[in-house]
Amino acid sequence: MTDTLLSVRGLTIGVQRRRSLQPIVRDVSFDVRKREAVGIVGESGSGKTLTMLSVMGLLPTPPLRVGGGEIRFADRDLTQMRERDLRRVRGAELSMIYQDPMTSLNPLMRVGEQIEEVMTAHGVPKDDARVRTREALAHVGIPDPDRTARAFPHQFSGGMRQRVMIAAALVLDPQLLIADEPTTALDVTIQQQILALVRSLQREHGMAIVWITHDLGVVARLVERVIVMYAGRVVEDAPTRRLFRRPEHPYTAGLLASLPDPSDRSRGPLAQIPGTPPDPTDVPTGCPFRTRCRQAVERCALEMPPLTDRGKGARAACWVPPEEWVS
Amino acid sequence: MILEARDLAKDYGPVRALRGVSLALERGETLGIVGESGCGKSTLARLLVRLEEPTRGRIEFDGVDLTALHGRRLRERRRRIQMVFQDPYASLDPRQTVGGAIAEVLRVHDLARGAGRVAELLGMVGLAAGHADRYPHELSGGQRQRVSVARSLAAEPVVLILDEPVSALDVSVRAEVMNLLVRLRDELGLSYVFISHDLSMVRHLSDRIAVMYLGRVVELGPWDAVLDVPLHPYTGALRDAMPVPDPELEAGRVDAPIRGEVPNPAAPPSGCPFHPRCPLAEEICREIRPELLELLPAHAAACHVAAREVSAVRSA
Repeated sequence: MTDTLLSVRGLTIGVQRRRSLQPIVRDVSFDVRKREAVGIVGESGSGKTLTMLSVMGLLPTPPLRVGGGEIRFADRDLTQMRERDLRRVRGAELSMIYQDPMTSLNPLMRVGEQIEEVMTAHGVPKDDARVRTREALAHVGIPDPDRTARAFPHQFSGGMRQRVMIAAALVLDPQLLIADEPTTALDVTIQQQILALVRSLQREHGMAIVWITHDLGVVARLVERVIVMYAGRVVEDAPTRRLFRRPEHPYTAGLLASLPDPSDRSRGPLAQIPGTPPDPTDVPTGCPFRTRCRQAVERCALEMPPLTDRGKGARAACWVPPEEWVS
Repeated sequence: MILEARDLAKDYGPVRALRGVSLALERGETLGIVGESGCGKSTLARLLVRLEEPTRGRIEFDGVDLTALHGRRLRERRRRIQMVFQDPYASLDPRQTVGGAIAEVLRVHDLARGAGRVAELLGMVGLAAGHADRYPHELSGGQRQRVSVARSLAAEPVVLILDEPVSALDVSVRAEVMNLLVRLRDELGLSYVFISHDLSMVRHLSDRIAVMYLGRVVELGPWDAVLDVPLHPYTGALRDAMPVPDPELEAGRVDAPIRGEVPNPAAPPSGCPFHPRCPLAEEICREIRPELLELLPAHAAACHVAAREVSAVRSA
């Protein structure tokens, strides 16, 4: 399909041990279409950030390494690309923003220069870059862009720093923006502003978004499709409304049930998922969720269920279909 | 009334973190406190457990002014108010076993010790007696937070100040800690001050909710009234800003975030501290700070516009 922008197939990421690779992300496959907003949901250790860092070619290697699989972006396999070529794609076609803006902003450099540098590194003439930097800052809702451009990152509030990072990430009009929990550390009213900003920029630029988060509320607000990861695997991938209305994986169902229902007046006990997420280097055999799963059957310990089609654009990796779940 | 703050204020140099807060906690009640960074909710928590001295105001515990007590008499009272922190990793000593950490609290307060009491406390939070020999790094996040709670319970408190107790936990383990807090409150008759930025958790646990902004309480009332029919525009803005895990509800929302950011607490705006961000602000809001007034039964707000509208409805 020509509509596909990013296609990840059989991606495995591991920690390099003396002789072997200890996998922590296993056999991850998904697509992102042009202009689509996708959420990747998972808890700590689920592999959601590592998966997208490897798409960016920014996996900390060593100790981590891509052990196999294919990452096709706009019909090129990024895993086979030389660093020099990858650098040309990164920033211009693919961009990433982070929870802590200081991971991508240089504290010793004026923010204007940093945004200009993104452009000049990709061949934009300096004068041009200066003008476009002012425009980019104004565009993300920063008052007084001229003065802002001359300021240093520490002179901003957390919300303003995120805006600066978004301006830098979008200045070359990328086709895909990867956002790694950029609003988790922000106050909710500021988060709301940033979500609204990203949503309007996405429509305007016609770019695709992959939003990494643990917050199912953010997912419900922002994305069209949700990929759920657990212990290094994709366990479910479905259109957002479909996922919330009829989860196909017991982990997704358990997460949704554990959240307080904003319309429930009785405020009864919350549904608990027993146990805790496993250490990513020490996951159970077979299905990694089976030790916490009430639906688990014998087969779950023996074989990892493949992601299978569940209709209406949904895929899930579970041996037990929802009709057979015990309540 | 088990715990009462009267006109509590705290300055850090030029920053007036808390600017006069009066709140009362009933026995067995859970008072939720919500607000964004800089609103003073964590400062309030630290004052209530006497981790810090207030610049002004009193804290009464069971009718006794804690701010006037010193030495052993203060220690004896203070033990009854315990705090549970957001990050159990930071509040537990990594070199101390779970049992050691709990026994230490018993020793400090001169309470009955021994393995039996430690095991009993672990049992109260749903952990096995065998956990006493473990170190914090051997536990999951949820288990560590259970240990923090057990450690607080060791001092035999009647009030727990819970400062973002589930915010640092994985989503799939938050429910069990929330359920534990509800069970302990009901079984032990505890009173809670539950501080969180997460409205859904505050809604789930609280009997009453106080909304804070820039060092002051701007709304206070029953949980359902505050969240369903908020009187203060900031409460409504906060509620609407919080994404809810329901795509149908989210699709029906208007994308109209409130503008601006929380002002610098060292240089607060004139009049109502919320006026620069408020969609309803009028001339009077820029000039005169509204007092927190009981506009409806048991439901107070500090807002000129709300006060006028409520009185118009009443006289109509």
